[in-house]
Amino acid sequence: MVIIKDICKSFNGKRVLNSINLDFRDGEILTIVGKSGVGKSVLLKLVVGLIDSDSGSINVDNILLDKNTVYDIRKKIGFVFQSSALVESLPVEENIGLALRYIYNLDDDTIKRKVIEAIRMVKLDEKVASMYPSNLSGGMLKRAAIARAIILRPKYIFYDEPTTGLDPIVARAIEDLILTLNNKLNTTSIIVTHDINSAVGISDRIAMLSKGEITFSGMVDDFNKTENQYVKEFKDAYFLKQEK
Amino acid sequence: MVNALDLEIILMILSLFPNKFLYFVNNIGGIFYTLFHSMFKKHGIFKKTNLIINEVIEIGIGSIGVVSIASILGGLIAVFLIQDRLGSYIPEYFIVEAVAKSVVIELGALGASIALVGRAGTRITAEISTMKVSEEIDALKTMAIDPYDYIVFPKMIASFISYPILIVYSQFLFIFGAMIYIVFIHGFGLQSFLFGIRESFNMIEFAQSMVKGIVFGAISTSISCYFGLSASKGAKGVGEATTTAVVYSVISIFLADFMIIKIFSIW
Ligand SMILES: Nc1ncnc2c1ncn2[C@@H]1O[C@H](COP(=O)(O)OP(=O)(O)O)[C@@H](O)[C@H]1O
Ligand SMILES: [Mg+2]
Repeated sequence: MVIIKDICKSFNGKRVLNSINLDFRDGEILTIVGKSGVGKSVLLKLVVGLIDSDSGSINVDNILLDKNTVYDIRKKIGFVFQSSALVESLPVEENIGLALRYIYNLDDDTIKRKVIEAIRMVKLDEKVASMYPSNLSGGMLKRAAIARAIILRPKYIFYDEPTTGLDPIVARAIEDLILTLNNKLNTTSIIVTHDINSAVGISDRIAMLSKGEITFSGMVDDFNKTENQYVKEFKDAYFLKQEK
Repeated sequence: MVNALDLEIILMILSLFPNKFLYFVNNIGGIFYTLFHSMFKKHGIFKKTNLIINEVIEIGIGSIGVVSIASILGGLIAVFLIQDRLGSYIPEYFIVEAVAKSVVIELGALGASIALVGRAGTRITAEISTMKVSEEIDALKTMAIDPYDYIVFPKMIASFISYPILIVYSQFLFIFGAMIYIVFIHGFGLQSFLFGIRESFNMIEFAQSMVKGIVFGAISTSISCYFGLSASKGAKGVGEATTTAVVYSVISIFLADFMIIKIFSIW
């Protein structure tokens, strides 16, 4: 379980997150929604220590995140970046196997086996293994990034806007994959998105981030029914944009 | 030495640009951090052998062309200048000796290192800053991979190997360039040329150039990596990082050169 307590974060004097309190519960799919620029990515990056908070605390499985524990905590979390962020100079298989090679010192055969297993699990063609990231489509890149994130069998997987920028059919396929992995690997999945349809479709629970605070959090049914003013505004803006 | 008054004036000038000064101090700290943090950590140097070999190919072998051309031309120019100005006053082997000494003490190391900053240093900054901007560095970190260990360390080791070797190579080509001019164009005897070279050689001076090689390599590579890792978002970040790294590298190499000469002159 991840416990985020009273987290504040400013950039250049501008408050982005203002006392965030939120839990990630074991086994769930939690989606954090919010307008673009509210600090959703910042929140995910805080939990893996890519950004330092100004105040507050983050606990991952009862380990307090700090300078000494950050590498241990990162091993528990797979992170899928919005841009996929594969290392351009390495073929897909090397990208997926990086941590196995440099953190766990496994031999080539074991790495190869585990990489192929991960590639199958994200339903990529095995031919993709030897290709370079710049030759992959958006959907394939995302799958490769997910394969890299699950290679250490992390307890948590964070997805930053996993479907943004993909065409609707590919986006649905990625959502299916997230659901499948969550069940098969018994992980806790945290998704950040501004896509309400996607959130409602696959989550157990939804939290809403606006004006630097968690303004709503509840199960999907509650999210659909709530009279919460922030959620209503967000839905109105979203569906207005959809109609256009 | 700097006396109290000079120091006061320097501090006064610096206080006119407090932000620039802080930025500068911050960068110097960052560069040293990059150097020490990448070198003094638990390393599996053997599992990184292929990374190091790749970097030697990129940094060392990739720079052979520019170092060759710069050195041969440098040798031609150096001997031409000395011959042109002093040729009528001093014996020919002495001209050769003067060129050879300046090559071994100074020109080989400086020439090769500046060429390496332009060819290898820029590539390092551009590569790392592009990775930074496209979040590849962040992705490495989330996999518990330390970029100082995985990216900076192999480049540092590769520079410690490549810089001294390329400096020796450059010294040879400098002298070869000098020979082209003085033997084949100017018609001096090959015998007296070789005699001048032999006469001029001094082990301490050669050792000095090797020390320079390692120091300049450490300077250029840690600066290039530091500015790459601290590049700001956007495509503009890559260009800015590369320019700043080159400026810092060139100035630092000249400063270090001066200090190394001073230290060796005490000997
Ligand atoms: N490294 C950074 N330096 C300065 N400002 C940042 C940084 N990262 C994010 N921000 C700012 O924080 C705010 C939230 O960003 P982000 O979390 O990316 O939003 P989103 O909810 O769209 O993911 C934005 O205003 C952004 O400009
Ligand atoms: Mg974002």
